[in-house]
Amino acid sequence: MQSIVRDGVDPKEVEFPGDLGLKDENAPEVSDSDNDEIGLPANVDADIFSEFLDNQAGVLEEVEGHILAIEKGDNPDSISELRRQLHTLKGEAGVLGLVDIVDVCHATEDFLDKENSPVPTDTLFAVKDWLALRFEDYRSSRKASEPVDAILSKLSASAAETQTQASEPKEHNESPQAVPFEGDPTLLSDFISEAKEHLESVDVELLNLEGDPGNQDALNAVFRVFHTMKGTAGFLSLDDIKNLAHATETLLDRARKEEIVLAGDAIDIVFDVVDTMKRYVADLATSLSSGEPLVRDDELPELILKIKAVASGDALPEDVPEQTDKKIGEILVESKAATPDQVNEALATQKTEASKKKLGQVMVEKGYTSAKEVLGAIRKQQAAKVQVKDTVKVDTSRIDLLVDTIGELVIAEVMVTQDPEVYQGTSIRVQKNLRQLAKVARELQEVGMTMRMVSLRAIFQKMARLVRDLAKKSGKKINFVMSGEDTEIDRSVVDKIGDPLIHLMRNAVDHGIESSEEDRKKAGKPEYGAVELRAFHKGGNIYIEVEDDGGGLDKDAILIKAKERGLITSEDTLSDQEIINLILEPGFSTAKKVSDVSGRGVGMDVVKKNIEALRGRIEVSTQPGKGSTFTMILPLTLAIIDGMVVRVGPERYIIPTLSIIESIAPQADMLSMVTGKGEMISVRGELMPLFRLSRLFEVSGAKEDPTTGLAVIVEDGMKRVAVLVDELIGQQQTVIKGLSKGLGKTVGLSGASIMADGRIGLILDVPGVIKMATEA
Amino acid sequence: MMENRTELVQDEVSQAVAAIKDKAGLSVDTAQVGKYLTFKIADETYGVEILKVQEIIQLLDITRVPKMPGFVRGVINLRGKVIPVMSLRKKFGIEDIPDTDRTCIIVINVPSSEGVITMGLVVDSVSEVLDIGADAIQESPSFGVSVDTTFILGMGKVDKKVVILLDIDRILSSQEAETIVKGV
Repeated sequence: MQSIVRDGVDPKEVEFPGDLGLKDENAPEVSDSDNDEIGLPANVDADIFSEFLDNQAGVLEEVEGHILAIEKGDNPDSISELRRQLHTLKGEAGVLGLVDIVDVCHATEDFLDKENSPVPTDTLFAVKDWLALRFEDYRSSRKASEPVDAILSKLSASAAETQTQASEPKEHNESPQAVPFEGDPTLLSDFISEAKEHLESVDVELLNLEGDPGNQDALNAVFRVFHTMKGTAGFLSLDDIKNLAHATETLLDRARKEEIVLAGDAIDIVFDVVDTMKRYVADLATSLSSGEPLVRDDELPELILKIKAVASGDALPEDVPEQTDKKIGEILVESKAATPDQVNEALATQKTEASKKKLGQVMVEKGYTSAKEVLGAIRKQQAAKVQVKDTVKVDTSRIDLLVDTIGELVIAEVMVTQDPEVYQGTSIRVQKNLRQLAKVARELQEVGMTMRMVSLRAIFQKMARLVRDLAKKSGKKINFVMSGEDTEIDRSVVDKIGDPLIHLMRNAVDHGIESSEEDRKKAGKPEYGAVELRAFHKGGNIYIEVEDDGGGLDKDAILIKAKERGLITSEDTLSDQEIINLILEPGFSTAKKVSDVSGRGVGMDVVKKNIEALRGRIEVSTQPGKGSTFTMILPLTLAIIDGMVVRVGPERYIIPTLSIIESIAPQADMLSMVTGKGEMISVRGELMPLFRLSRLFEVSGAKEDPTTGLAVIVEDGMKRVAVLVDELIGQQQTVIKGLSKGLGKTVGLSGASIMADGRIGLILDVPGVIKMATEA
Repeated sequence: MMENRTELVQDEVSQAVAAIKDKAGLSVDTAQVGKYLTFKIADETYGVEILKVQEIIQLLDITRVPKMPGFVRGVINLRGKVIPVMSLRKKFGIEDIPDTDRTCIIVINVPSSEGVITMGLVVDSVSEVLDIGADAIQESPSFGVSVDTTFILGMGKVDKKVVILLDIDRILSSQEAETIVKGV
């Protein structure tokens, strides 16, 4: 039996080819039984711990599935799968310091290594049950219900038993664990998506670490990610990633032991590693989808050498205050039970008295706060430690389907409840029930919408990283602040605002903030340039603002450039806002790609186009010498549009409310004909073209006299035009349906929507209509 | 265009038919043997492959879409889905008549580069489903019919009646090309 396994490929070597014998360095193999008393290991972030526990329900379910498959014997991959899972679990538990779980996983892995078929699945089930029980224990922070020794001895007993059983020679060499995994696209794609998530989170933690090199929580989080990456990459035979992760892990481990401080070069190199890995993962994804072989990164060995150099360098251990969970004082201040001064004073007293008194005690003695408040704070402190949120991962296409179906339901509901026939001769009871139906349908719609919502946190964090890198590159000192990163927005919107946001951040750092500190000092500004990224709700829309305190936009320079490019003629008189909005015009910048050296305004038309594709708009405001603000105004969701229903002849159209400035009833003296330019309307002194929707869309039977109709003033960037319609029917939220499929290209329309009467209303594409009108 | 033609040769039966016709010196552009839904426009009977037909519905409120070619009647709300509807009369250049009680919409599913497209065809009236065997299918004549022969797969002969078998996929692709040209 032994010889059979050894004749095959050593499973350990399949998992960790070229491992430098450093595996499990953070997973102590000593079986320490006093860990039974530990509920939550020290130095572990409560969120990470609870997330870990959260994931385990799913993991155990999979484990059980694999054991069942092994029992049936129909899937040779099950054993390898099971081992992979146990190995990952071991790694994660190791980082979290759950020594008993590490031991059990390790023993089970060994147990699986030794076995060929038949595998004693009873023992495996016992292990699974034990793990489930232990996780429950951890969740409720109590002692182990079943001692770790019991399960370990069960494992070794079972191993000994099967070993004697299996001592008869076997005909065929069955070692499923020797199957290389590099060919399995599912595993690889899982790895890719996991790795992306991991690397994003590392960025954030690294930024935290940069600001506070002693932050053990952040350090542990980073360490954990690299450890997991190492494990999975090793398993998938992605040697490059594995080696890189391993080297980084070694570096981080030294930082954890406070042998070196993660700052300066050390943290830069970790950032480099993250970038390299991101690149590698992206390459991997491309090669996976295209089927082309993966190109090896030549810089890798060099990078690993660099890491090793940094890791071996002996930096002086700095005296860093230990940062653990929130202090009682902080909680008291937060809950407004005490002022910061009081807490500081109490802390001072606590120190000078050299007493063993707790802070809370001192506070109460001094009469700053009541015992009840302190108790509450302590409870809060403990509650924060384990906060388990139950979540389910759902396929996004299912959510889309659900939201679509809810949309249908709402339309159907409106068709019923707004049908006049329903109300003829019906009792009050029926009407009441119908209202209830309408209410539930609306609520359902809202719930459906929130399911598609994701927070902006991930994308904001990316921007934080971007600003850091840009600032380093340009040598500017920048203080980046972000707020509102918990604002939620439709998932499909988040995917599409990335590029515009990068453009805006780049502009703010590269061109917004003055290039030299002297310039800033002269202008009486602080040494550090401020770049702020904000997100907030306002009037049913999401606002995302990028603000800098740099030099602002140069109006004269914009004017000169716009004239050069032929966007305006010398005779045009423009308001300040119109001049600024010129930077959003296509053709303002000739550079096709954004580069670090190009002038301000680069790619702004791309930004505008992207935002318009999301049915949002962008506003620019600037104050010379004080800075500029770019505001993206986006709809909460792409699935629903807030629109104004208008009638033209027998036809109805929906104009997105976001593009409407106002609507007015034109008076005869406001109208004028300008030769060569068509009809114009003067609104409070501002002259703008008036287009008749009936003529643009060739609608017959519309009102001919403008004074009997209504002029809806719409805006697209710097252009304001009035669109003449017959009348306004009302405002309505409608579910958007695509129009183009099967129709070819539509002009001036962005989609369709089903109206309350079941007929279809077409949604106007305002920029398209303006284009149509001005070019016709 | 050739690609489209060859795509139509989908199964062995039609391949066999094609082989026979090839030998006989005919082109491989051929109608498939099988069930056809027949309908009337003016005095002619037409047929579409039953597999492409999703359902037949009565004429609904059609919302006109501006700036579309004449044969596109507009869009309808088919149980919450917005689908385009076109008039086969206009498409074939036959004089338009007001809708009658028998006017109806045949909803078809056709594959395209954008995935399967569902669309409606307005016809004067729907007749029946016919089984058309290999021996009943003939090549489309190159003259003598008042319709554009590009959209014709072949002619089916059943009980002395002549059924014009339509190439629905081609009707759609030509429409796409037309609207794109107009859209520029």
